[in-house]
Amino acid sequence: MTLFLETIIQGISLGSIYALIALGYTMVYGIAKMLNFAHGDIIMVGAYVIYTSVTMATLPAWIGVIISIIFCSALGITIEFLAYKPLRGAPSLNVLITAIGVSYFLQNLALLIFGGNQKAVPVPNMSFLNIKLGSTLSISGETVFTILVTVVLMIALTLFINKTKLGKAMRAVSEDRDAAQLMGINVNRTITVTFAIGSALAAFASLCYGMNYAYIKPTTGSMPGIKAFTAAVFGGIGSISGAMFGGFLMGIFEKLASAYISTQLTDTIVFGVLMIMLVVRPTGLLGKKLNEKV
Amino acid sequence: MKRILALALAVLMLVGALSLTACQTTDSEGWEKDADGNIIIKIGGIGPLTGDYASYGVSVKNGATIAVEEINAANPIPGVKFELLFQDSEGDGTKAVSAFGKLVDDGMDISLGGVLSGETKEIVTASVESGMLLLTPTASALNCIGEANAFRVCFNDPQQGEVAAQQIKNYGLATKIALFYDNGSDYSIGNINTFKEKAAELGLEIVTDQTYSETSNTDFSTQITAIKNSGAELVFMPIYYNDAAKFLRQARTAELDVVYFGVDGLDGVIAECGEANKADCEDVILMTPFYADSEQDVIKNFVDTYKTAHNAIPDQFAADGYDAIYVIVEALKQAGYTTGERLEGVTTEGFNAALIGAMTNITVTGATGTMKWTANGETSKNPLVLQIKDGKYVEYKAE
Repeated sequence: MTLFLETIIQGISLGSIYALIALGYTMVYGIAKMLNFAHGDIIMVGAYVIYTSVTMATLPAWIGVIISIIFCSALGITIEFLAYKPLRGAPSLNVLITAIGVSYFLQNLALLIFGGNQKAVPVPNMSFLNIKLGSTLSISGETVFTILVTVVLMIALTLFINKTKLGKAMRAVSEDRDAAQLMGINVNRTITVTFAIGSALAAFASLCYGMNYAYIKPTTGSMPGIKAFTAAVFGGIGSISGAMFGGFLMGIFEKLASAYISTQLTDTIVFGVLMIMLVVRPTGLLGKKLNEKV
Repeated sequence: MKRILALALAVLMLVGALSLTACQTTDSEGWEKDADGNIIIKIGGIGPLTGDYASYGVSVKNGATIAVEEINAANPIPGVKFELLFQDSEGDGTKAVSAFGKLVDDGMDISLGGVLSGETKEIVTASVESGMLLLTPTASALNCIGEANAFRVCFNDPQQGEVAAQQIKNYGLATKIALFYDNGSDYSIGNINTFKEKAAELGLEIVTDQTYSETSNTDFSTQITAIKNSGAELVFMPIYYNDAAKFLRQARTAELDVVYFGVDGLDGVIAECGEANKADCEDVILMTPFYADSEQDVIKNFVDTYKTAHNAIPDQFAADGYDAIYVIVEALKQAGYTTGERLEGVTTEGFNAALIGAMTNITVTGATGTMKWTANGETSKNPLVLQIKDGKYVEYKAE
């Protein structure tokens, strides 16, 4: 029983990171109708920004985190402006290939600047959040923090989308871009804001990644990126609650599979579940039922 | 326009052809010589200078460079100078083989093989045709040498696994042991197999067998939970330092309270953890044949020179690289090449055969202990059991 509970907690913690990344995928897909494959690499950039500001510029860890969030938002806007905006209206395949190009560009840039060796990300110490449940079960502060951050960000994002004017504009653009434009909504600006928010979420994900796994490399972002994309598809791409749900489920599946079946076959099992899911429900878990697009 | 272009190309080709013949003239004289008429023997090393295993390659290169400088200054073979050529393999076998080809083109006379086991295996295969002496400082997997021209300075993985089990028993470190390793790595598997055999023989109980692979080397929480629940007192982890740093971070966060016991791949973990995660390495035990704080003269000299040159304490890889060069000098002397004159007129085949023959007849005491070789390229030496205390290695003492 302890093993089961521990596994579920680990799954939720891992799932939180996936959920944060999946949100970025799903927002961009919902609004700009494109798959931003460079999204996973923003996490890597975010982690390197924390590394640079704390280890090299010797700033306190919290300042590094704030710099990372600002930097990632700016990077998201820049990428959108340079790589995706000129392709607005082009076939979606062109945009997809550009996104893959941006992903490799970011990875190789990091390789050039920081080299291929793994680096320790200095993150704030979270041990004061440690929770002890009974004699055997304990949850580390890092896990608690990761889950808290994710839940808070989800709530904030949902409120933002549903209650603010900009959120309304986003929903409108997502529904029908041309009609939204006719109603006087600045579509380009809305998409830029989407990228900024998505990338800021990626910066939070890099903080959580750093806390849980401590070491980063230029390729760090790609695997979580793919898994989070899977989670977004799993939950129904374009849906915020779907991304969150998909992220958590992915994390829990992955941990259960590795604890009870095999640590070697984990990915096979997780992606196998996705395939079955897509056959049974092609729109994803929450894709159709709620029909709520960002 | 076209005519000018054609003319330019023709001139280029002519220059090329001339420089080619220029090369050949020096080659036909036999040995390449420096300005003072000393024969230059070129030693070619290959290893990861960038990428995941860069720490190993850089250490070997630094160690070997120091040895070459020392030897050139001391001049033990009059009329002969040494030059070290070193190529980056990024830890990749295919790149290592191309690097070997490049070194042969650059006139390499003796090869240091590769630094990692995987790349060395491929270099050895590629080197058989050349017939030159290949002495790898650090490639420890059993099957990575296995050709008549290949030797190694370090001990091999099965030896390590066996000694590790023996030491755990001798020091009474634990009776319940968890295994944690990369089951896609020759290095880990080589260690684990003999460790298991020896452990069974000594009555040590293996309570859990936890593995990961290159594609799942980020999140170890499942394995850590399993080790925790198995009641193990010690985790034997024959893995490389970069994965070890990640594992230690997560294990410490999960408060896994066991003895951490590794072998020579763990060397480099202190630097990898860095200041940020320094506490992770505390009390970790590892086996290596080299101990930087030793009082022996040969080690003291080496450590001092290394510290001055690289502002760091040398690890076992640096020491292996350093020893490899001295072994080569010893083999040259044993083969009768005690002066530069004796090398004149020697054919490449004769030179290679004499050196390989000499390898089994020499005894060298270096920074990593006293070594002798068998014809299958293996050496024997005693690994030391070290423990990390406050970011430094100290000799392990039972409490």
